[in-house]
Amino acid sequence: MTLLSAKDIKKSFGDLEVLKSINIEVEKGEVVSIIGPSGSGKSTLLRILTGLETADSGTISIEGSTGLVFQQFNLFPHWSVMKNLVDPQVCVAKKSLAEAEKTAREILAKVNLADKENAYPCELSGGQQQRVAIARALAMNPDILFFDEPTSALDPEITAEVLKVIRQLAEQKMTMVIITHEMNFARGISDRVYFMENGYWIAQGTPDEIFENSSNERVSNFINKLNQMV
Amino acid sequence: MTFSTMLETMSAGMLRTCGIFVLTLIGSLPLGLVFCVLRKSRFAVIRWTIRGIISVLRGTPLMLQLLVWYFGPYFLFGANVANWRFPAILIGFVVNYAAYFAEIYRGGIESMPVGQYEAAKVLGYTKVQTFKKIILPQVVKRIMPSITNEVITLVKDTSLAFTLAYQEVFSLAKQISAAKSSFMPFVIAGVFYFVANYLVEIVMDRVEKSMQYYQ
Repeated sequence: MTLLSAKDIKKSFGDLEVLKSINIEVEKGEVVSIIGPSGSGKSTLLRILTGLETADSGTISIEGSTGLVFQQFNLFPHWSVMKNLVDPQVCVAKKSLAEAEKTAREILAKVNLADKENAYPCELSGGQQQRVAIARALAMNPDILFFDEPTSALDPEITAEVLKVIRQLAEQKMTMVIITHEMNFARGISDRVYFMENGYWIAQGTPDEIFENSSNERVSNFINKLNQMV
Repeated sequence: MTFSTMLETMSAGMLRTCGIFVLTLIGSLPLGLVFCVLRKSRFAVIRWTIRGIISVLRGTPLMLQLLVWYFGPYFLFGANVANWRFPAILIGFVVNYAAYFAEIYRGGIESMPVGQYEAAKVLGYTKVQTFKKIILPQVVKRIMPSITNEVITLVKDTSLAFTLAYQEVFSLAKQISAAKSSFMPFVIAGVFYFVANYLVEIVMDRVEKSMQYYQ
């Protein structure tokens, strides 16, 4: 079943064409990674798919609800971890407080933060904050969860704990679209990988097709460069 | 005139001063928010009108504004201003302070990271919910030091009501001093303002501390 289908998405900021006719489809239970150099339009696409920006043209159809995990977490700092998870459920999804708290506790346990429900975001490490942000998105029970470079603001050691949580979600067949620069992670977790440059997909395929034997020189160069860095 | 009768006479003025102070805050803190929201209206006419009003309120002396509020109705419409003294003072103070508070709120709101709005939007909060539940509480924390400044200034500015011969503590001090050839009323008034502001500092410090549980 196709949960997300976007066709011929175009977006410009002033004279700058950020997205030039983008198509993307995501099936239920699929994990799709979007890779490519900075400034290529990946984030803009995600912002359009989650309603933070509007496309200049094209059609988007999404079955069900979406959630988004930001690079900078964007937790609400004046609320405890618990309230961050509970308030959207009560205020937006109209659940009862008891029900919302039950859901919140279950999800916090999933992301290994059961002992932090009364903490405030400023008391948590970056990795913990990002796991709370994932939990907050999950608490709204989205059909598709989007990630916009979820580990780019984290140091390598802490990155691992966040990636582990995302891997667990993949095992549970959560439908996810992930922008990332973690190539090994993308390779391991994805069903399909899209490579964006200058507002186009310049390659797409299975992780093996992209990472092992890409016929596209630009793609293999990009991946080789990233591998050399590590 | 003994010290104690002097103090007694002046205590009525202190009460009136406190009256101006409290009522001005009650009126201007919310009105400032209204100004602030209108100043960000999507209608240019409203935006520019409010900008103009704020500009005039901040750009002319409060003393002059008080005179205009008091005598304006008489000179413009020939209205009877017999019972108009205290309302005119209150309107003058409330509107003037609202202009300053509006700009403080605006500074606070504009300092909020856009990520807070985006997170709220993605979660499905409406604009009003986002402002009330997520933005405003954080703005209040950010602007508290500036608000304290204004509140302290207000304590002292209440003395401007003497322009309209309102018998608050400063007017009384002047009158008693002149009538009794005594310096003491000024000392009493000075101590009164200082103590009042010391209390303001203590209270505002508590308020700020109550919001220090997060960064």
